[in-house]
Amino acid sequence: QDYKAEYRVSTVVPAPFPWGIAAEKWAELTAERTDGRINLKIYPGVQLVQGDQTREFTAIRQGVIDMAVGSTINWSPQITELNLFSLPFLMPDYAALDSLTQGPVGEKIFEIIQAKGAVPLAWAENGFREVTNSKTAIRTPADMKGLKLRVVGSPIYNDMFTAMGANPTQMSWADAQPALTTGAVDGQENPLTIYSVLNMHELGQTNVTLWGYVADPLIFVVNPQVWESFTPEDREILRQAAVDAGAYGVDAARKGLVGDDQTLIDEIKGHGVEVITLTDEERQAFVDITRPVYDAWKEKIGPDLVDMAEQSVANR
Amino acid sequence: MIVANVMLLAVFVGLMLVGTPIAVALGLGGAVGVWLGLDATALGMIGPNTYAAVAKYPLIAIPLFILTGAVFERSGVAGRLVEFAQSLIGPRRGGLALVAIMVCMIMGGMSGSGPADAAAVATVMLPSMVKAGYPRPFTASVIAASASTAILIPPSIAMIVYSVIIPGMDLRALFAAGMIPGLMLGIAVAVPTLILSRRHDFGAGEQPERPPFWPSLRRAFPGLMAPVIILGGLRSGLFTPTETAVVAVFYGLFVGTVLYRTMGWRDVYNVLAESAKISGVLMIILSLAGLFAWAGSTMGAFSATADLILGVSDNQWVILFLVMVVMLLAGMVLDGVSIYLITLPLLIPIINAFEWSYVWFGVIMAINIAMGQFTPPVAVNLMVTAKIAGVPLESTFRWVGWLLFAMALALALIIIFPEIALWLPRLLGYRIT
Amino acid sequence: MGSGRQRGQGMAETQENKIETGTQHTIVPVRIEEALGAAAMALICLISFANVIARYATNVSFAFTEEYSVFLLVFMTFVGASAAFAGNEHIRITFFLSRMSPGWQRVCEAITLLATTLMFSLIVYFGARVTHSEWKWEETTPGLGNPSWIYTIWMPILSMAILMRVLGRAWATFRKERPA
Ligand code: NA
Ligand code: NA
Repeated sequence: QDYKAEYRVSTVVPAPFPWGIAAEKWAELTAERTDGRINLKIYPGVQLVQGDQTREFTAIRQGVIDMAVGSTINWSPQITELNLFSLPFLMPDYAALDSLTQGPVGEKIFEIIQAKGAVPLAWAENGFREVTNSKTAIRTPADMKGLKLRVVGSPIYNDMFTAMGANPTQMSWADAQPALTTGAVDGQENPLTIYSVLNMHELGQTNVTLWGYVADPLIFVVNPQVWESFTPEDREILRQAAVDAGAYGVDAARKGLVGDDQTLIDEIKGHGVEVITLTDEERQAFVDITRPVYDAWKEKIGPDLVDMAEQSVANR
Repeated sequence: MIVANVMLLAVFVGLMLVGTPIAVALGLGGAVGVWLGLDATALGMIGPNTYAAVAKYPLIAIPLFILTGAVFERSGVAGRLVEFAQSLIGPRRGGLALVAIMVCMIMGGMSGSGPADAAAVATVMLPSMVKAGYPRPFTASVIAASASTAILIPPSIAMIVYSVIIPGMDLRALFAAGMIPGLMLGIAVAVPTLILSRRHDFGAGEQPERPPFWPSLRRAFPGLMAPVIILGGLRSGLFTPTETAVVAVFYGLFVGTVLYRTMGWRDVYNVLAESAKISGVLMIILSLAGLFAWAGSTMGAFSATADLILGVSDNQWVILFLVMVVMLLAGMVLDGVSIYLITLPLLIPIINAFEWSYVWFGVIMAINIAMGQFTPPVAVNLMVTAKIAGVPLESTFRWVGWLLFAMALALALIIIFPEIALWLPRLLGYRIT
Repeated sequence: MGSGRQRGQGMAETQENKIETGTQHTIVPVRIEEALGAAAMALICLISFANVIARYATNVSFAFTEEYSVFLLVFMTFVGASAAFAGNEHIRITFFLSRMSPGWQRVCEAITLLATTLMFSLIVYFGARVTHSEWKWEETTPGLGNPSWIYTIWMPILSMAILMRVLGRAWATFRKERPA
């Protein structure tokens, strides 16, 4: 078999982010279980496409990147259906998220990715995305008036934040860091694990609102030619390693955020950051104001898929 | 892989030496390296990377600051600044030379690079300085040296590029860190200039009349406000670098078309077209350097070379000295942006190894590049001023040495006392990495 | 990296007068690139300024227009580079070149011509491949949801223009140098 000495694996953030942890685990398990036949080298920061994570999927398709652990948001420019996970307030909790990725919706999404030119293997998790900013505590949509917020991946974010009265701007994570540092943007939305590892309170992001409006699962994929070049046994090893690494990554992503273990939130509060958890009524105001965006995007994503997702969530 | 890595560098260096545009040398070096070292599909990286390397939001500040400098240069602000500086300094031995240095530094507060500054000030100052008895080679040397401070005094195009390459770098901190060293370099040029002027009796023919202070201040005021707007905009936290740049552009157009009335529509168009071309020249290097960086980091060439350099000595001062010698040599033949792009992938592992401050190192690098800009045999600033003065480059060598020596002393101080650079950004509350 | 070079005071001319700049040889006027570059620059200024106004003086959501600014930056890069190739004004080291005999100089210029042609041919090919892929798979932009290919197609197109400029200059140079 004609195996490469090393396979280029792209991620947006490295360990100790759960995202990078999942990717590293994949590399570790694969090397171990194939006795070093398949070596994955992780390239964090999407450096293989100059930090522009929205070009990652195109690069995978063309073989510039061999494999990736990528976000559904970042690949939505190529795969419209991945906007499903960006529908505002579709998933109220982790069980809802699991009911999608581990259920019929997940299978359907994998079929679509396969048809779009990459081989999907397993799911991991970046997490529920919470909004942060340097200006004001956000409790109502009115608090967001005029805030310049960095978003990435899909116009649905422009629509959502415009509906809430904010001023969204789209940029890659590589660009977002200096923009946050210099105050070019007031705020951003990301999972708390990202917030915490990057010490975003030092960037002036001292207002955090836990609203869990969307979550982005991560997907392990392989370029089809690379996939074909492996023996069936090695393919299965690579797939199982991805499944195991994904489960490991999901645990890392939820650590300190679920059940009785709220240590991550406490740690963030310890930095003098105001962390707001919305009451049901407060949350409903955001649900209501983004409802037209939800409805419009349900059409774009495909009503059948969204119906299936709504059903999975209801039956979770 | 070793062959591929060697070819990556060999193609780049070889093409560079035969006079191929730096951008092409970088891009083709990267392409050849990938072709030899990796699979054929990896060559596909050229498509997305050439585009994505320049499609970056923070880079918008570069053309905007290039335009800012060009607009102020075109608006005729230099002449009015000269008059004002003369009224401040008055007729004294070496006075006009001091005026030239001061105006270079104020212009440096509006423009992002040295050669443009040097051209503007040399054009305005040369005739009067020659008339006052300054030798042409001496004048060309002084203006070339003081214009090189533009790379340190904010805004600075090279520093924008540095901040984009270094992850998590606050451009405002870097700009602030360049301020005091920039002024120090100006003083470093002024001291030997004055001593030499006295010793050789230059400027004996300086006219005794001094322009009246208030009228010349009034005339220079719109120009003097430009650095204030730029520094103030950055300082207040009100504006981001990009916003500051665009506000300065519109202010400059207002000064040129309404206040000074030195610019018509035709001039506005010309300055836009010219700045677009200069931006293209710089940004195409950024674009193709992206291919070189992709190849070098994917094939491990950079980390291997960095290890090699680190293997020379584990004394950080020895390594720093080596790095600076290379910088100075590079500064003679290349512009600041290219130097940052070519050397930083190699230098980042070294900076990390010794835990140097990125901000401090960025300033040190900028000073080295500034010195390289007027160090013969190849010196961009000096070539510009010598050309305007109509003297051969060789004639400036006897003066340039003193100026270089003084700047080297200032550089040594900043290396020994990093707080000279870091004090201001610390005071302003920026994050120093 | 300053306008000094643009006025023909760059290192090449100052060093020796052997290496020519200027655009007298062109058939297609460089004014085209200049006008496109000026327009791109003006638009970037206007969009950025409108964003400043929108951010500090109004509550209008306008920042998503930065997708256009970023595109215009790429467009301006390649248009500006094309104009500079026409005028032989790119940043390069002419220190050694200008000290060579005319024969060696011609060899080096030929190498540069070859390298530059190869480089931009690669960009045309692989750039077009990206654009084609975006068009075929109906990719949209992450900011505004526009078709991606309407942006990226300009890179291979303008690289083609650069190739024409490079070859045009080479044709003029080498034909002139041929002994009569
Ligand atoms: Na400057
Ligand atoms: Na500068």
